[in-house]
Amino acid sequence: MAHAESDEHEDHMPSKSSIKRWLTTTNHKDVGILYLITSIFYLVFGGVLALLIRLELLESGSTILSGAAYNQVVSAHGLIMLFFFISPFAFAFANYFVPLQIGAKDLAFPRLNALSFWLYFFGGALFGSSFFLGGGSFSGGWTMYAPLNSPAYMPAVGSTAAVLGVMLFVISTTVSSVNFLTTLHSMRAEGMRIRDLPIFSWSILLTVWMMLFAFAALLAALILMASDHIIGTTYFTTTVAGSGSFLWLHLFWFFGHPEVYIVLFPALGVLGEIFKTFTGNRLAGRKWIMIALGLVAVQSFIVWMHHMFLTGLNFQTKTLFMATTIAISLPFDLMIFGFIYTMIKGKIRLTTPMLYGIATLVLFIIGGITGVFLGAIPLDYNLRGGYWVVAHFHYVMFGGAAALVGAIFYWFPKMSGKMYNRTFGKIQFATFFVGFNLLYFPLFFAYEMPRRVFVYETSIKMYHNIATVGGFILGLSVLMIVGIMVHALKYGDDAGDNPWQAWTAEWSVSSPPPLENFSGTPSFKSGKLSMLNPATDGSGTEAETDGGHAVEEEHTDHASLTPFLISLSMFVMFLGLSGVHQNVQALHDGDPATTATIAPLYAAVAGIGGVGMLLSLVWFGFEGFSAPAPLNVNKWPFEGVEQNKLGVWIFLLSDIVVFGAFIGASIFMRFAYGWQEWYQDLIPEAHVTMPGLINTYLLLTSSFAVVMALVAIEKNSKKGLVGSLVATFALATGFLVNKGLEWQHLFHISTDAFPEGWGLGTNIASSTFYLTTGMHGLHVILGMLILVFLIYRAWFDDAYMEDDRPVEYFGLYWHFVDIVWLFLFPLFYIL
Amino acid sequence: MTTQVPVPVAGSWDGLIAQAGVDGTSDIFGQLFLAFIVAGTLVGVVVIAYTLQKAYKNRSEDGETKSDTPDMGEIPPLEGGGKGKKLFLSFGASAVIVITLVGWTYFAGFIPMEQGPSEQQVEDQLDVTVTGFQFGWRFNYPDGEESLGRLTVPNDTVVRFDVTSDDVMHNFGLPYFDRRSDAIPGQITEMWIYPQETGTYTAKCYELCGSGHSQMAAQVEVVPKNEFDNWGNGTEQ
Repeated sequence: MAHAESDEHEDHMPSKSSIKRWLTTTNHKDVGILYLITSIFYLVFGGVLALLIRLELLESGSTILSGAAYNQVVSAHGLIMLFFFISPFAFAFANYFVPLQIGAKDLAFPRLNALSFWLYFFGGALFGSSFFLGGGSFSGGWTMYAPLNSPAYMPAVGSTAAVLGVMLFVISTTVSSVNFLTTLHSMRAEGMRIRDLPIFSWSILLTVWMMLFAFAALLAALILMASDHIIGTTYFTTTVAGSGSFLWLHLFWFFGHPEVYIVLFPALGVLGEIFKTFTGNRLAGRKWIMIALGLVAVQSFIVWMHHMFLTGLNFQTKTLFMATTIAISLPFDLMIFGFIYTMIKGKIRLTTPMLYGIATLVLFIIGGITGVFLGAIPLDYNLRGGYWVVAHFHYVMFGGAAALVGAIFYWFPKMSGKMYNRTFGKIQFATFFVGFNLLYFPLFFAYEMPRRVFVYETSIKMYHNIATVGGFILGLSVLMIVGIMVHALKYGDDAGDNPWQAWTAEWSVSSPPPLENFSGTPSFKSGKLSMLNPATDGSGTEAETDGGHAVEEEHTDHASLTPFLISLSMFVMFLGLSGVHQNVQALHDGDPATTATIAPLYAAVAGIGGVGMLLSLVWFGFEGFSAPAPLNVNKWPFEGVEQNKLGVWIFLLSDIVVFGAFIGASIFMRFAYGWQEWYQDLIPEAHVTMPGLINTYLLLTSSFAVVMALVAIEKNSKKGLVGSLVATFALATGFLVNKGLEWQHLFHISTDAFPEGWGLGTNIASSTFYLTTGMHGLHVILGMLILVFLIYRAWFDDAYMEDDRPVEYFGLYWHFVDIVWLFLFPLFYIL
Repeated sequence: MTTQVPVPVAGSWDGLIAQAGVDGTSDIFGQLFLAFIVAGTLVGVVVIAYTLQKAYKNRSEDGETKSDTPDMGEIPPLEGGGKGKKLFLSFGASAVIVITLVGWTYFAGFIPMEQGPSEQQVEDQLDVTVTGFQFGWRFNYPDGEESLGRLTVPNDTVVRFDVTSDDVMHNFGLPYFDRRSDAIPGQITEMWIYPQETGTYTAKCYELCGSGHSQMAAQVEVVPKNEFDNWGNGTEQ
């Protein structure tokens, strides 16, 4: 079994040595490796930026970097490490090992999984290229506070490109969340209840639930910010009662605090796996660790205002958020003790991964204790925005990432089939640990120094210099990881199936695992892993689709180029969008003439990207593609919900948060301005109820038409089906035409109050109106594109008469879009 | 500490301990911080030492794992490896420490800080509006005086600040007085200090605000009361 090289399984896939394989693969293990390599690249990228920071800090006020360049480096370091390194690094392992741990052949939607990767890949590429576009990259810190983040203060094309790069990454995480949630909730092999998940898979389950909601809030915030940059809305430049700044603070930290746990949880899951394996014990208080993790995941959404203790919140709010903050620290105590007690009566092998495990505990304990300081408001009053915070969160987040470095040493033998040189591993660990503490511990002593500055008192020079030395040692240790792995791939001994004598399911298969993971249908029904019908080798599975149409052929392709193409064209489109607005200057001191010539160029690029995206989406829809259908699965709590339907529902959940954030933002800004004054001062009389009312009727009727389509399928009437879908399309067209007329009119009114018309950037009321209803309009357009596809397939391919699920799921989406309108209509037309 | 005192040595524990004895209203931070350092170090050392001791004591001498590890691919019992009682005892202890510490800061620190010294405690009070801009600080006094980059306040007087910003977010921080506050455009944030020694200190910006952020500082002069009373009459530089 040790050398069941995957050749025999690879008949549907190009060979691993060809580039085509890596561009078209949808296999979760391949995608995991792609994530791993790409995220390590970003670790090096972000690390080089960090070393630039350390060099700049060798002397107070040194001039290696200018003030503007320093801000860009600081910002990019944070954004890259948080978005393009840690989470993707964790999801390299999640991709590779979650299906193996739960007895699945792949994720629920393999093509979407590849899409997630490529969106991440090109998001990073766009972010990286932002340095080379006019004016340099984003320079407002990874927290991107408003109004510094708005084009008035950050007009460069590069800064907008960086934001859009992050946005691509956020889209990628949303797709991933839907995929992993569907997988974990509907593809566990029989006998594995949700509470039976191995600790790593459990941590990923909670991570993706947090991601689904938290990243939706960030997506909304980024769309608002990007629209300020690209189409000239005024969300974050609105200063009435500080509303623009506060809107960003709330939206960002509603995402930002869960984000801390999103990057930390996979590390805790790895920690659990490593502690189990190398102590030979089960986790102490496993149930309580799992419950504690679950509690933190829920609580993470009610602590965000502790990042705002200095913004002038009132006494009660501060008290409340201090209490929730203490409350969220308690489950962590329980977890940490659980991990420590797992060692009791164990027989601990101090291998490299275990050393990393213990180190992570130590680092996390230091990070946790120093975090309690920040939860105490009187201390936060003098620690916030300074180096205490810097030191603390590096201990927590990078300390957590130490477990993920341990994960490389733990799982590399499984992924490659090769064992690395264990002595090298331990040397690498020692280098990492020494470098880490030299780098971050002295920074606690510099707690009075503000973050993100390069001027400091000579009295703390020593701390900075020690940190700089530590930084370079840590950097060296990262290179050593790469060196050790390359060395092992070349010269390493065969690792065998289970070199660590571990007992989670991924260790039961060969190293590396075969393409379809298990030689049969896994089952945990007997209390441990066993194979049903091991002989059939998976050929008994039915073809299943993941959003395209059902495929009849026996051997359809398991490779697809469309995820790559969709992502590439979105990259091109976003690149173009970053430079289209006239406010966006090509250079910091760019003269208007240059801007005028460059903007159309960017617009053309955006157009090419948009067309490319449309074409590749069409290809995606028509492409034959088979995903393994899960057999014998355990689906609690979603028994009876078909897999694709579950995916649609989960996606809609995140979309609810996005719209919730948009609607919330409108209400928030209006409250800050004054509910009545808003109506009197900011909205022209020409903005009347009638167009909205007509559109309400049109949309409701269109929902009815979708229901009629399903009825027609039941009556087996193809004409009825096509007719109803066409009617839906026509009503949606009516909706958009009506909206277009309304907008045209409002754009060009000329009254005393609004002599220049009521455009997107006229005031904050017009911004919220156009952007929120515009987002809804985009959803309508997207629905219409799907409708065209459905109508085509129903008419030419006689589709859906046997299997009406695609129409039903489209209906779910369409009804959702209608319901959103039912919130928007009163908000923007009546109140 | 009379004149020409640079910003106190960051991280100088001696300085902190020395300050901890001063009047309760003005040095809440120093006392709480010290207590947290002591308690945090203690807890950290004990827990980390315990962890390392357990790892060392239970190490495998022969490089082999236990003979009775669970079966491959087992569904683990919910309780896992047990030890629930021990777990909850330590959890309880840690919870008590954390809640006590933070609760104490709430009553001994947060509430007095929010209320500020009462008028019985301190008779003299000065209100100053602080406005951050790219890249400096403007100070407006009740008598209409305005000063750029230099804050002058009387000693032994409670100084209350209304902090705001002209453009982007800044953060007005007075490291010597252990207090920071966000400066948000369109919004006023309040904070106060109670200087008890004359001297020259520094105000810094603690929120990234643009290319000049690193250099964005102001001088803070604490002068004797009688000197300050004259200062408003045109004797300032």
